[in-house]
Amino acid sequence: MNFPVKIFVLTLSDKVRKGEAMLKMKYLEASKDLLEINEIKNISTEMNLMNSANPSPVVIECDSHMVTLNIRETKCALGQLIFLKGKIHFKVEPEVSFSFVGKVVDLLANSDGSSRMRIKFNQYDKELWQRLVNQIRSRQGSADRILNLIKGDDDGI
Amino acid sequence: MEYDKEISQFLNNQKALIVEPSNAFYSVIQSCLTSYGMSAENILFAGSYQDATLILKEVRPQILVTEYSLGKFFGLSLVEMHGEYYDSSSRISIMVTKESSDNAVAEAAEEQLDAYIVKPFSISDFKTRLLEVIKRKMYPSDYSHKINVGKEMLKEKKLPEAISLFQEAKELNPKPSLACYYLGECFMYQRKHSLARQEFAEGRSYNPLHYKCLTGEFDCLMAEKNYNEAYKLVGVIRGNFPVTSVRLGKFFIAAVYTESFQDVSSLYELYTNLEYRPSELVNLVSMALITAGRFYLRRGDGPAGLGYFEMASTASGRGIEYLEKIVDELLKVSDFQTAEHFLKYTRSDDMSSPKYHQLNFKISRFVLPLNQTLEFGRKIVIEGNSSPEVTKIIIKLAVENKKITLAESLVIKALEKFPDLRKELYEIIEGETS
Repeated sequence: MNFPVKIFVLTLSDKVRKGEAMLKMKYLEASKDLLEINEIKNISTEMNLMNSANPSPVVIECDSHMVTLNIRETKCALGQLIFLKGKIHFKVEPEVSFSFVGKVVDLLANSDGSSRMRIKFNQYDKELWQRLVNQIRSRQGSADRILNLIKGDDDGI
Repeated sequence: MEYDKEISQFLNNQKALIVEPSNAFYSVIQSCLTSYGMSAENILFAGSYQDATLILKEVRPQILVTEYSLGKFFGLSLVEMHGEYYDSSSRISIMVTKESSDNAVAEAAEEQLDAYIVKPFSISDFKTRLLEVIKRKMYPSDYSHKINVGKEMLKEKKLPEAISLFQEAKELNPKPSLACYYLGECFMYQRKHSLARQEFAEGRSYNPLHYKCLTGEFDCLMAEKNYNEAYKLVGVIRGNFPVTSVRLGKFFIAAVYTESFQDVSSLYELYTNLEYRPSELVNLVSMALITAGRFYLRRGDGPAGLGYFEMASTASGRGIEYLEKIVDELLKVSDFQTAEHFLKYTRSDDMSSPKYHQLNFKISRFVLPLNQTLEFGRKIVIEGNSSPEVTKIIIKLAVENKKITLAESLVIKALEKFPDLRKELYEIIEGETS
């Protein structure tokens, strides 16, 4: 005999699916990177520094006129020209694509075989890049403000 | 130069733990520490939460630099653990993370973090911040020093000593809101709620939106069971600060006690915005949502009630214990169809649990023909999936329908699992046969 289990076949309602998806989406949105790099090419040697074996670099620092990346591929040298292509995800506006060219001004080999590379931009959208740098600074400023407010240290500790 | 030497000495008198899943960031943070003269040997690395907890327990480093998000775990738990080993004056806790939401920062600030640094960061800025933190630890102001020592006393429950230190601290700062807050905390421990509230109020007189004094006053009113007054502060806190997980849990409690169920959905929205949801909060929110659902259901507002039950089901991750509470409420108002709907939310890993079979039976008895219900009930008892409540229902149902032999056989089987029910179960049978 079949028991009532047959009536209660497991199907999630759309509402629950939507609720759970929303929770996940909010988390992903909050942790989304501001700067997405899709292509890095060493113009001097014409070598691609990003491929399936060498996925996206880690963005360490974004400062006026320059970016510091950690890349798996180490085939570049000081002074070489680098082409960078990607997207910037601003908080409230649509993402903006960019293609910049810069020069390797600092290169450091890490113990795990990767390299930390500082690229100073030569050809780039100065205004766009500054907006990104400002947004990063503003995120830090906001974090500082909240930290101080909640800690409530009277002499600015 | 002399100054650098002191910093380097200070750093080398302790160990540092960097908890960072990314090797790239680890090497940057490590180089920042070594640039101040800290020896690389004193810097430990953990790429995962599990490794970090082990190192924290065994080595007990005084400096902790951690990511916010560590796989399924959170760096906040590490900061909390770090705080158990060292008081805030003798430890340095820094969070370096790409997580920059207001809630995440507030959550970290509640754990007495020294700095919150958002990735990607400027290396020179990181070094400046690190130096500031080190200097504050090395040379605290007299006011901070008194507060730090007082906090230690408070932690050790040496309340008279702590009170005296905080009172002395109050004399050292023209706007000593923090000292007032800790004095209030001491009085809270002594259950002198009125004195505690006076201190929180004094703290707020210097800084009307002093977070700790505001939340201290809220906690004090909650402890006094003055829920209506406490709930008035919820709006002030929510309006001015990001809500943390601990705070949100208390807001839910206050909303339930004051029957402010109209606000529960907006509190739930705050909950969905949290990155960090400890299991206690998940339980509390799920229960509060069920209570709100029950409230509206009993007031005859079915759609609102069901809406809250849906939220509770999502918040609890469709936990069977919570679905049971929802189903029970729906059965009380004879809404079998909706009860069935909620039973369908059961997670696949719970579908073989006794609880699922019991719930299934509780609903089925209202929708299935009698012979099928009895057979279903018999199967549950025989397979050992019944509960005392469901066993009694099944036996009563058998007796009421003159299936005495079935009832007797089920009693014998049920008594193997619930021997304490002997008297009660036989009374059900005897009641009918006599």
